[in-house]
Amino acid sequence: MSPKIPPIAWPDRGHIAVRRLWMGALMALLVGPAVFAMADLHYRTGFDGWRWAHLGLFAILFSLVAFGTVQALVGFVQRRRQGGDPYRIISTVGVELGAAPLKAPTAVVMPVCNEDPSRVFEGLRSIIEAVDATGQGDNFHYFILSDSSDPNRWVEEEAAWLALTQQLHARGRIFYRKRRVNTNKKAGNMADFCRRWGRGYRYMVVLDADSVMTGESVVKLTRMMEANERVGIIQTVPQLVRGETMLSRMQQFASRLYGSIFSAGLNSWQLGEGNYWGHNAIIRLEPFIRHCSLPDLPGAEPFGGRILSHDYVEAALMRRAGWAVWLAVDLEGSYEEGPTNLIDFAKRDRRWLQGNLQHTWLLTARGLRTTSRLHLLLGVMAFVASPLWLAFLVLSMVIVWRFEATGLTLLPGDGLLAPYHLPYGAQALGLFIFTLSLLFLPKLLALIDLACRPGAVLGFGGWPRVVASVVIETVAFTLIAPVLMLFHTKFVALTLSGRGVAWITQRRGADGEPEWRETILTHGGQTAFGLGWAALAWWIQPALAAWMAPILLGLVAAIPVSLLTGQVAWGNRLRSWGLFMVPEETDPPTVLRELEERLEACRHHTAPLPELADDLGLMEVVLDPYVNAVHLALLRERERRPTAREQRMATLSERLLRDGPGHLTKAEKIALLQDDEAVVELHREIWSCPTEKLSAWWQLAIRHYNVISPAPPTVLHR
Amino acid sequence: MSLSSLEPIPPPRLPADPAWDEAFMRVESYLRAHQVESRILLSRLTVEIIRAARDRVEAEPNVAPLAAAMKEANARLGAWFTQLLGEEAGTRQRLGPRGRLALVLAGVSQRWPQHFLDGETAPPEMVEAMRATYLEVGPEMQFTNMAPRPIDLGPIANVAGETWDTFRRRPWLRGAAAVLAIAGVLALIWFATR
Repeated sequence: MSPKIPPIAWPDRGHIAVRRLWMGALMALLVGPAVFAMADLHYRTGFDGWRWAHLGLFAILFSLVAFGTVQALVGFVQRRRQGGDPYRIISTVGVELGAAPLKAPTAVVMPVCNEDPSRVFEGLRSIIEAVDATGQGDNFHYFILSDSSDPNRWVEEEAAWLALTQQLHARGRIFYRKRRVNTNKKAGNMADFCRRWGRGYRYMVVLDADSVMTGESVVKLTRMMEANERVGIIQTVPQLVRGETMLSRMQQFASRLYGSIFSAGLNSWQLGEGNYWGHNAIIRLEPFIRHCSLPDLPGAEPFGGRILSHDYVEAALMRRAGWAVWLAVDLEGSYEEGPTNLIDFAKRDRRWLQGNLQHTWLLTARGLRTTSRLHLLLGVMAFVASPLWLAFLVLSMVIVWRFEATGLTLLPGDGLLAPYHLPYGAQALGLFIFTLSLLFLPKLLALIDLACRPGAVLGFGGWPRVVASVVIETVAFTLIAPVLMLFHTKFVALTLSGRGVAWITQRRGADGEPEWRETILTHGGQTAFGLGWAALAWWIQPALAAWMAPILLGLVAAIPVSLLTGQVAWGNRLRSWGLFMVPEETDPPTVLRELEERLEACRHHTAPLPELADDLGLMEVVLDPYVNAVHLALLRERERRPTAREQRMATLSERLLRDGPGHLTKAEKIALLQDDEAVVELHREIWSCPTEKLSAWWQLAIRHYNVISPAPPTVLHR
Repeated sequence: MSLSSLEPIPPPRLPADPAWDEAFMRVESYLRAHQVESRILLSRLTVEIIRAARDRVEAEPNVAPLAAAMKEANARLGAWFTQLLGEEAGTRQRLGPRGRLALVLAGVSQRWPQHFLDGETAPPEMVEAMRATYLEVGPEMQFTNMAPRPIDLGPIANVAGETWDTFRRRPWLRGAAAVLAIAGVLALIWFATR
């Protein structure tokens, strides 16, 4: 019998409406005067088409800023009120239920795609051990759902899965599934799981390849679902951890310090109409399978076709079917990692941007809730705001340029509220300061919130370090923001024109740091653009260049900023100074501490010869009797294969052994690894093949297994 | 005891031939790839296999030493797997992979290293452990239908979708739209610079 859950009084429609009206009123209080002030400035210098467009863009951009500020303000109030926000999903789980056994079969699924298997499987090991330590381990099964297209990653995943299963004595609890065809990417991978095994589980905890969750958080999520029968999805607020570079450390610091008031504010207005962010969340499978299968969009990718960012849409479909979606604010123990450098950051944004732009199609879809439309719109605006910002800046320049071209002195007329108006310059400066205040208010509120929690500041390294970190982070992100603006603008333009974004092949140093060549080629255009823009602004009016200096400086300094913030050494130095510390570093939870220790041990494993490293997985499948057997056991056995396929496999096998893996394409290697008979034959053939018929690469590989050392050196033979 | 009382050392049965050296090294490497680390065991097993291979080559002179040796090694492994796992372990081609899987899952090379390729004295618990092995890649499947379902995008998106399709199908329309867009930008610049 399931434990009795204390009833929670959820807000009724009227209460929800009141909360949202408050948000709207606060927004209106901020946006209204600002837009009026800007309109007044234009009115005093004479409205024209350019100024109307400028005002429109200002209204949109200022609304976005104000929305964030209001959300932070509301979140701050909710966190500081006695007992916190009463409407939090976490409050449905009573302390007295902690030890009651769970009887809700739950699958913990981790979709992976070419990620480092050591990180993936050590992360999963930490989660499994943490869940087992709660005493509720029997309630959970774990699935690694691989879409890896790199043959070596595939083989490494298989071996790592087997090792993990054996080491944890978890046969029948940890499962591995590799799709042959990666239809519809991650969404398709999840749907594939649902079709095969979804009926066997009540819930599904979705992880990302870099997710880590404490056992308590996984169990609590399941209990929250058990306690709330009409909840379809509960999303946690993952904290960024394990940052090594300056950029990743700044991100984790900012998200940890400011994130709590933003998420409290978000929960305050969305309540049971929340969003799903794709991972570190729990999903009720039955309604998910029934209602959340994704439709194709009109047109072809990248703007149409298959939905890339499935999470928002799945939450909207769940809401459409009447199921609640909650954000589990205040649930500790949910972690993920952030991008390590600016280029990776932009690459991730590019993926998200393409996915979010597709959501435009759904804004007017029939049956969706208004809040779901708002989530979709905010997702779109998160990226479309960049080209709008750029357009706003360009328009600002055009307006100044047009005025300068007249050669007249600025003599503004009466304002809309004459005679109660400020001088023109003072009003412009006031509006600028007001905008900046809104941008910085959330930081201030977060610091006050921190001060109100006794001892919490020690988790961030103490007040002097917190303040220094906030200042540095503010300066750094001010420089980075215009760079992201150009990235996003380019991505939006390319997506709308139906083109993907061509990337320079990413080559990284040992620690995932950006390389000089890659950085220069990626940011060179932005630097040139910044220099040109600065020259133009100076030519139009030196004061204009001064106003735009923070933006222009960010663009001109894009290369050094990108290099510097992507350096692990710099990140380590900042850490040694106690900057950008988060509580997960000053007092790490067991799950993170153990993960770190294990990854450190992985780094000390014997590395393969550099010549063999690129095709290590393939080498192991062909040569190693055990890896070969495990790989075969995981392949689907074919009854018969057509003659043409047989001949193709024979040719590929021959080329592989004679010329070496470097002469085969990735697709050819995958084809071989997917063919069970070819894998059997390759193993037999390589061990029976005379040395001279094997490529030098294979000769070297076989030498690995030899017990005989080379002939001892002697001075008799030279 | 005089030297003459000692039995003469028998001439080596193994030929001093580079091809047999290669065969020896390959067989030894192959056995070592099974994580057999005992030098004594490796040498003994390798010598036994090479001797048997030599007999085979004497009977079939056209067979190369390396091929004969590896054939012998695989035959011995196959026979051992059949003895331990039973005839139902798999077809001849799949017996090797099935046996190797049983070895790795039962942890034979760590728990019973001295009994590798030894059918006579294999401890019952090792045989039991090998027979009990299986690889469970997933629980029993319970298929559900989760086919993508269409969604009504609403009138605006439908019109946009149709327009998008029209543009996609008619390149001349795309060209005309591009010309219009460029003309619009030029008009805007002209208007701005008036």
